[in-house]
Amino acid sequence: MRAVWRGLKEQFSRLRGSVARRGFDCEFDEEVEAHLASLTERFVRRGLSPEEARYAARKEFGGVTQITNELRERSRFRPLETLLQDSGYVLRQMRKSPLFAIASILTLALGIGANTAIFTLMDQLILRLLPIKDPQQVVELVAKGDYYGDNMGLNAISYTMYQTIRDHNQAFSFVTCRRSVQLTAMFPSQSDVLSGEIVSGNYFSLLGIKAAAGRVFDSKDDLRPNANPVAVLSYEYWKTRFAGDARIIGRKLLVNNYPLTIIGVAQPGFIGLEPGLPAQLFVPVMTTPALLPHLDFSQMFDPRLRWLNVYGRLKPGKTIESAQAALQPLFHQILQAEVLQPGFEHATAYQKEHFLRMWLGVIPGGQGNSILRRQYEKPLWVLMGVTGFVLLIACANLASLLAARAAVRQKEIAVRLAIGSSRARIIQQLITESVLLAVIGGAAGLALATVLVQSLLAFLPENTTGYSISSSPDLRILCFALGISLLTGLLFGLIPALQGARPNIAETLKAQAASVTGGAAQINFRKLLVVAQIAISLLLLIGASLFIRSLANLHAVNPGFEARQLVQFDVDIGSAGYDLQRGHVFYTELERRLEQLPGVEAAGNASNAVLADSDWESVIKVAGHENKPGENVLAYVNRVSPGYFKTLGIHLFSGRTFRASDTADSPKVVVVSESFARHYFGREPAIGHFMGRGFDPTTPTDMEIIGVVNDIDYQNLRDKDARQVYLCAPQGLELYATVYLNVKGNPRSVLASARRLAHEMEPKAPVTNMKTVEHQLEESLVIERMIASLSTAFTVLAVALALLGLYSVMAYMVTQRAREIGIRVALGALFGNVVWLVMREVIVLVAVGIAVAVPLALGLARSIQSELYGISSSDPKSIGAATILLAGIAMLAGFLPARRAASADPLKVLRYE
Amino acid sequence: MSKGKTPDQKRSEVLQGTLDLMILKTLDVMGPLHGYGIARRIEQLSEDVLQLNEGTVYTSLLRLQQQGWICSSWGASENNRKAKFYSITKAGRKQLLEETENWERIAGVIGKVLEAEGGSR
Repeated sequence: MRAVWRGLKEQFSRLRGSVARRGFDCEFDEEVEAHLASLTERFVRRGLSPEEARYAARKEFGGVTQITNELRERSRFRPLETLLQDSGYVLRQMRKSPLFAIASILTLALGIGANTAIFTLMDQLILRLLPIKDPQQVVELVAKGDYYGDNMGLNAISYTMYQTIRDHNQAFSFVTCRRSVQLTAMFPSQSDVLSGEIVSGNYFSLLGIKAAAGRVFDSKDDLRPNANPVAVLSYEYWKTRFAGDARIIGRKLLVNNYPLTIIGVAQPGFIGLEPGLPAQLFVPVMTTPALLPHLDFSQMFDPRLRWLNVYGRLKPGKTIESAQAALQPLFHQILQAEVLQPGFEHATAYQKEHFLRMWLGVIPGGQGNSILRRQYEKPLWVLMGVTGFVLLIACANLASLLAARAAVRQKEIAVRLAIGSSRARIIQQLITESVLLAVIGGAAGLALATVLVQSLLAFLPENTTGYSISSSPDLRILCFALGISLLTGLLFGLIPALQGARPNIAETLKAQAASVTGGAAQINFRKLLVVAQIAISLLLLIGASLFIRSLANLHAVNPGFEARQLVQFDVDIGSAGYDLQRGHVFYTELERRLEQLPGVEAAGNASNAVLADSDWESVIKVAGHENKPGENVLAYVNRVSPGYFKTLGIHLFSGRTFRASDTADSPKVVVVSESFARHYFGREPAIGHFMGRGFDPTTPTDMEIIGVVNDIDYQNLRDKDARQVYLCAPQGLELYATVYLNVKGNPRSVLASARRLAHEMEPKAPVTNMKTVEHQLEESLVIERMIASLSTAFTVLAVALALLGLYSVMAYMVTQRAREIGIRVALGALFGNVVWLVMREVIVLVAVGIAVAVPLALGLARSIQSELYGISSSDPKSIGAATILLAGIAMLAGFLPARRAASADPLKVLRYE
Repeated sequence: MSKGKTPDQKRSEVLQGTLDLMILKTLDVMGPLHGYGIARRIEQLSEDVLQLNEGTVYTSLLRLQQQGWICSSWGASENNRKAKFYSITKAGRKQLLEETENWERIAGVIGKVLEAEGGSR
């Protein structure tokens, strides 16, 4: 250990010496000179002649040159010295053949840039931990298995379960809960729609988040419902909305028509635990009943409603596994207790049994809760794979070029070896060249990546910009780019360097300069690279064609309604302080007046927008229908106004849709979709049957089915969520709605007038998300479109690079064989014979490449099946088309040198030789 | 590369590593010295028993400097020649102490071994 330390100290001192080299060298000389002079004087004093004295001094000193050389040598950091020396040499070489340098740097810049760009997205969307204290200690709790009750959101847990785990677990130092909500802050002149986070009192202490001003919550702020109406602002919102004014603390803020006292501002950069929805306002869980009318006291403490995400901080020494194991007994105690509660009195034995089989999962929580991450994780890995392949192809091209150059340089290398240079030294120099190229290419790639990331961000829909992805590289990205550059340099430089440093010295030196050929090893290596390039490009081509056809399939899907003529926007009347009665009057009047706008054919509204991944599902109980154990009794639910069906162009099969006469006081009515009717009633008419919503068998079945309409794509175009139930707007409890307009002509023409009208009617109700439904549809396909277009772009790049590789190898071979071909032509070989001579090689290379790629493609494609729609990953048409396309253009790339060889004048060739 | 050897066989070659120890000790006892001074001091103490290429003093000095055991600064020698003066550092004193103990232990052991071997004859 000590020896190592000493070695390091010495190397470091040498490194310093190297940097200040000039001065050092002089110092040694001076010192030695002085010593010699003193010795000489001494010998002169002893009576020697100056000449003899000088000689004696030198003898006494020992080899002067050796010593000074040794001192110089020892005072320097060798690797740095040689690196600088080699780099200088390489730069001179580059200046000599700038075309080669530019081509390779460009190739590398594209390859490394693409990888860095995708990595930047991955890092920020998927890999990065939140800016909280020791994020790797923070975990999220997830109840797994068949739940009995209602669920709101991803990984949700009930408040009562949170309380019990918080108070009785042994694994965590803190347990906290939170939920993202949309809130409206009302100011005298306007309203802000805010992204809010409902958090428990210990939230900030668990995450180690301090206050930038005022204070953050502690557990005293979260004791009793509605007892402490307080709020904490995010730093960002404080800066932008209140200009960072500290006097805001202590003031009242009207949120969802409920006054909250601002007590502080969270530290800069903290945006809550859902990075896709950066929180602007934090409120205690106990203000929920006042802020969210649909979550009243009884519901928020109902063990049968899961609505909060629960996070814990592991105690020191605890791991995720040990915490998970330690929590199971407690979790099962809770389940056992819950099953005895009144909420279960009507549950079947089957439901109870499955409920009791649940278990509590512990997952890393340092990245927060993100639906976005789940959506983008797989696609980004796919793209990372694609760009990785592109870089491999670029490496193959460069390796091939370097191998060719090493062959040209063989004479020089042979000379150097012959006069005593070591092979290792030459390999080192050749690798320095490739690594230097890669690092320069990497720097250019890094610049390119910033541009690429910016254009990639344009792909993401507006509602994801909350992620605030930055395109400027930070330290992590720099490290990634540097690492990948070094790796690339080694990857493409190593084999050519090893090959290049092993010429047959005697043979090479004997031969004429012009006839020094690369030798069989070099050509075979380059052919191998071509095969690999063809194989990889085919893989990418097959992938891209699958993605393109999958996207086309999605575009061809008929959503079941007329998307083309529709405009949509959200109006949140609840946040303007309306109650149900007034809210209903408002929406009815809004629709009536919207229909009078020029160009508007029909208007309607729904509580949940279509194609926006709304997940309002409900357990359905149909009168007279016996649920079989394990039967799926869920249906997608939406609450719509009478005008909705006409506006969206949803087709009525039988019965009727809602009318103005269906009010809160009239009998409850529902409209169901075709698939729903078929599931419960088969060929029998569905009209006149009764149903209810709820998992409880005592649920009243008091809703009459009055109509059957066609199935539509409710959540998105991919999932067939066909069983749908429409509730009648006035007969329920929603104070927000998405309004739809069916427009004659260009739907964009009514956007401004519709907004003006809504604002005129109620200035305090914010109008948001105004867009055409076509636009919404495109947004819902954003991931598919991103994969399809990016993989296509990268594939084009990859194929172009591979063809360039094939072309250059064939062109090189043709030059090598010019003499042979010349003789053949002179002896009467026809154009076709010569072309065949070359094409034979091309065909073999391409065929081997394809033979390698197709089975690989079949294997790899299985991993992207989940990203495809309406097409099998082993689709023979896609594979066939890609193969034929690649083979065709590869033949063309090979034919160009073949034709040149065949049409060369044999006389000229032979005379030149 | 062959190192120049003097034909004088009576003088012993300096053991590898012992020169460092001698220089450290010299600097510890004498205070700051230049290379020439160190060579003279060692010559004087060794009473011409040790054969030393004076140049090797400098490689030793560089080595000690790189380990941080001595430091150097430019000054003027007795005859007003510009010279680099070396002085021992704190770490160097510690090292000297350790190395001295080490040396004495080994020397003791070797002495015993040689005596014992001699006795058995």
